[in-house]
Amino acid sequence: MADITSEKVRELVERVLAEVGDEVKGQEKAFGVADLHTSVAGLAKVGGLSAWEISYKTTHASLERAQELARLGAKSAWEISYKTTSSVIEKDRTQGR
Amino acid sequence: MIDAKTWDGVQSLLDNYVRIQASDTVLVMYTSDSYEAAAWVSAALELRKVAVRRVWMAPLRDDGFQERLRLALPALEQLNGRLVVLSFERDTMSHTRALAEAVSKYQPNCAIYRSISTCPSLFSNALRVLPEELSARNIAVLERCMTAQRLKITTAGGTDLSVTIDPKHRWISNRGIARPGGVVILPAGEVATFPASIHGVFIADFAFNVNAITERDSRLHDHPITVWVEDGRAVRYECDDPPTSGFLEECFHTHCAYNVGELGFGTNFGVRDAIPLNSHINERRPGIHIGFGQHNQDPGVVGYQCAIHLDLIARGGIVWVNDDPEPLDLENIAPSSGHHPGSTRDEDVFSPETEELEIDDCCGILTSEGLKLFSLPQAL
Repeated sequence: MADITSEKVRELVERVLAEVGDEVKGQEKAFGVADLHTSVAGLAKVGGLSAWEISYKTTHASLERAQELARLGAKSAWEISYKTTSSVIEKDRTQGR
Repeated sequence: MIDAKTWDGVQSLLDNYVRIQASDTVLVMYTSDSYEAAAWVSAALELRKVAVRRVWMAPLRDDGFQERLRLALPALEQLNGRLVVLSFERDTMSHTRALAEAVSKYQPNCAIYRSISTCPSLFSNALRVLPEELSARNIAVLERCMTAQRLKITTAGGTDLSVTIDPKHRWISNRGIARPGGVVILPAGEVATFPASIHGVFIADFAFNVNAITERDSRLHDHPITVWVEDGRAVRYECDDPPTSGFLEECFHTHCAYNVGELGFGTNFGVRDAIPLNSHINERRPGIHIGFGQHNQDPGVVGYQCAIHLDLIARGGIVWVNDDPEPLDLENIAPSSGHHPGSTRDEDVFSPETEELEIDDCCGILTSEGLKLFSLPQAL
């Protein structure tokens, strides 16, 4: 990161804060709820809709499986037969290499 | 104006967690309550000359979010490095599935960091600790506890719990480090599981964290909560503070909320004192916490669902493992240089199921236009 004075950082942060503040006003207006904070707080009070959850529920579990496959670098969800490289590995394994 | 410690935390997020590169393209998603954090991070990225786009989102329910997200995402062929998604919300975690679907085509060149409890303390305390330091502490806890059969847990505040562990219950380790295709939940620093059995007395003298929006001061140091636990359930609770007592009544009144659904070990030593905000920052504090209500296991393993999850958090915790005379002191964990186990789950916060999309199976998503493929990295 380039050297920059704390005054310049302050100016930059204030400018971006003003930009993002304007974005929020525009987006909330377009969203069409008079008081978004009150609306969401009423929605997610105790006994209402959860504000967050600790675990995937039934349908989410499928998504987690997909992500785990992704982590494993899976090219497809499953395959029905060995492809060429797998056959080589199998051949090596049976020949004790 | 942002203070120096908070600004340092912003730099730590970018340097130590995200490991930002000049070639990265960053998408900042934020709710209105976190617009300052979105601005701080945007400014820090501008200083580094890293391309940044922003998407505002309404928390929990936002019919237009998917379209705004689609418009903000770069074309795949325009991407020179990684797509880095940074999201900031204070009270909520929103749109898990919509985001996962939208960025799946960028994998494996996509890194996602989602912050809940966004406030200055997230940066000035929780994010100033290196993820490697958190990981080494999580590994130390996992090495002792994952293979344990029995735990005895005490705290200076008076907690005395007996726990049994069953290997069929999965462990969660949130340490601020991403695995390919995964999502990092911030603040980081926790190990957790589901106790096969638990009984005794638990004194929560640090804070609570509930999955609802509340303006209530979450700190408990002046009026600790005592919960008596038998056979994995809260059978009695007490608190000297009438408003807090009423709040507990409201929570435990929810169906299944008296079940112990989580046994958690906070490991983020950057968090020392509780903050008033109902937050995950307090939950990451070194110490023991119990989550009542919704559990942290797959639906087929633990068979109940609960609308509420109420974490009651103690300051510190001493854990005796089996018959080992040397306990684990959660406030003084000796970091481990071992390898982190691969079987744990990283993510411990998800959005509630409010979106219309339904995952049909691991390959498809049922949309209003019919079944669409859910693309895995470079595949399908």
